[in-house]
Amino acid sequence: MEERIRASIHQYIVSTWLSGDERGFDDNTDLLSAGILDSFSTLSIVAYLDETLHAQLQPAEINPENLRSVNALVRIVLAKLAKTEERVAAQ
Amino acid sequence: MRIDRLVATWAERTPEQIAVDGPGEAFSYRELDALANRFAHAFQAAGVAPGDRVGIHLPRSGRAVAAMLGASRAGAVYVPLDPSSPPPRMRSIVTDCNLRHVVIAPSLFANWLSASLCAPVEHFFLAADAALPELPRPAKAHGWSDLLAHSSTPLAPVSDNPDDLAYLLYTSGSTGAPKGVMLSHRNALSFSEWAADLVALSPTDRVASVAPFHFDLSVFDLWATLARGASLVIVDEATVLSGPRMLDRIASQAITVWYSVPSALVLMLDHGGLEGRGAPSLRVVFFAGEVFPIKHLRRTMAALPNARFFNLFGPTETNVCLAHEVRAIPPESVQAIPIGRPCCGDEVAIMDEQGRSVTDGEIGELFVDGPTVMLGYWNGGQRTPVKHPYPTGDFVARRLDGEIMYHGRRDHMVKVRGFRIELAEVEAALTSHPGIREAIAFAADGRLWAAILASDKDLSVLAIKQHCALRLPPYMVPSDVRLLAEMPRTSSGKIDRVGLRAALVGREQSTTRDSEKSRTRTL
Repeated sequence: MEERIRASIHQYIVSTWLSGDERGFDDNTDLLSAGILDSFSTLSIVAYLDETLHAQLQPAEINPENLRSVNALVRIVLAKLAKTEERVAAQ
Repeated sequence: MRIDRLVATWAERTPEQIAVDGPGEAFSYRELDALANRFAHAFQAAGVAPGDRVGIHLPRSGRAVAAMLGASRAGAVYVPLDPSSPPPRMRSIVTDCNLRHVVIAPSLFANWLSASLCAPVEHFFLAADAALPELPRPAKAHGWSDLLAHSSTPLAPVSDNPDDLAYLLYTSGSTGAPKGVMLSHRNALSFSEWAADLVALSPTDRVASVAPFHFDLSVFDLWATLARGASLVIVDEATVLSGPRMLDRIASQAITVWYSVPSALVLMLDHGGLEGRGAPSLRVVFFAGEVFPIKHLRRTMAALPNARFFNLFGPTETNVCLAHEVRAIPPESVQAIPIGRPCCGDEVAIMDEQGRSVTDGEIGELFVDGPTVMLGYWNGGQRTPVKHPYPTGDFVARRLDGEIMYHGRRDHMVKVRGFRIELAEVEAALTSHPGIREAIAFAADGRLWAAILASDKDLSVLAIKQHCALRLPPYMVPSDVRLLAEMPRTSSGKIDRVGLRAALVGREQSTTRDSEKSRTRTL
């Protein structure tokens, strides 16, 4: 599952924010100093995680640390999904 | 009337009334007045003379408001600095207006030291408790406790002249560097007093502070609120990114007056659940800075039936010069709303290229004169007085009923989500890259685009964006970067901006749909 999530986020960033040009980009690339992360793209990225990967970030989780790179995004999505599963299992 | 006198009156009449609320601390009028006096004494002791510029590099807060007031009381000119601006752009502002005194949040200090931004700055005033940093000589840092040791008693007034320069707002400049718009006490208060009267602002009002202090939307928040003894409620940057959180804040803080770009309201509408929960405390909504899409405006108004809505218009150079109160919008209407009629005591003229007034219904350039028109530009270290009447660069037409309608710009200035951007500044940053031969920037679909002709075929979109992020604030970094094999040209050999835009934006719409499909397939 992790690989599918990673591929999905990676492809989303490259296609939406790098015009499909993958050169030089990897999952550790700092999205802030890459000029990718701003208030507008933050909203789009959060909406993407919610609508496509069903990981709904709480306002307090929307911070540069969680959004800094593809790897950071994968981490927060996995953490969110694990919590959701726990809740489902508990019910 | 001057900005520096506003708070003292209320500090006597209603000393315990909240002047600035949040984040994390609140200042009564008495406390704000006292802290402003301490700042004024500290500035004077550090050699600030009337007319000197004082930089304000703080998150929006009561301390920042006190620092601006203190600078004013010392006869100085406050310069709000954009906390998101990268060091080279900051450096061009610091040197342009020769900032020798800067009030700074300790958390923002590291940037200045690492980027050797300190050059002309002689005195830093820390706005919170923190260890004093090591500074290159002759710069000196003053701690928070040093500030609090200064007297809270008022200074003798330095000047009574309302036409003194009060603050500089740096905006995107067409020469590639930001330029300072010079605004006087009269400029700020002509608008603030007019707007406060328009909505009968009173001490019971709680006014949201949403816009950054280096944007002219904040002039209302700050000075209309403090002129009327009302409370300014700081809505911090992280909250402004979240529709639900903004609505939570409006409700929990009982905010009554809101002034923002339409994007923030659309965010509450589309992602915050505004239509379900409403925001019953809001009685006034001002918006400005960009066109409010009519269908979104209609829904926003329906969700806030108790609020009056006003479309305010004017470049930073004239603050607000036109205003229109939006009444019910017919359900079938798709017509744009007017930008309104002259306000704040301003007079406007609509003229053709020969300088003749156009007849009603005809499009011409908007010229403005009156008390809100700036003193001039501070640019390249020089002051250039404004031309009267001021040519705004906006094309408009007056309807038969007297309402003025907007018809676009005559130059290459664009608005992206309310941010004012000179395309030439973006293009200058792009072409400063050795691998870029030509660059054209434009706005479309609410985003900033760049078309690049590279001399280095290995140049990647990522490298271009990284280059921009080092030189431009985040909102000026193009979202969509396209590398072209050649630039389309007109018959005269100039780059065909119109054709370029049509070709790229048209193509983008089809590729977006394709990537949507492939994304769905992956999952």
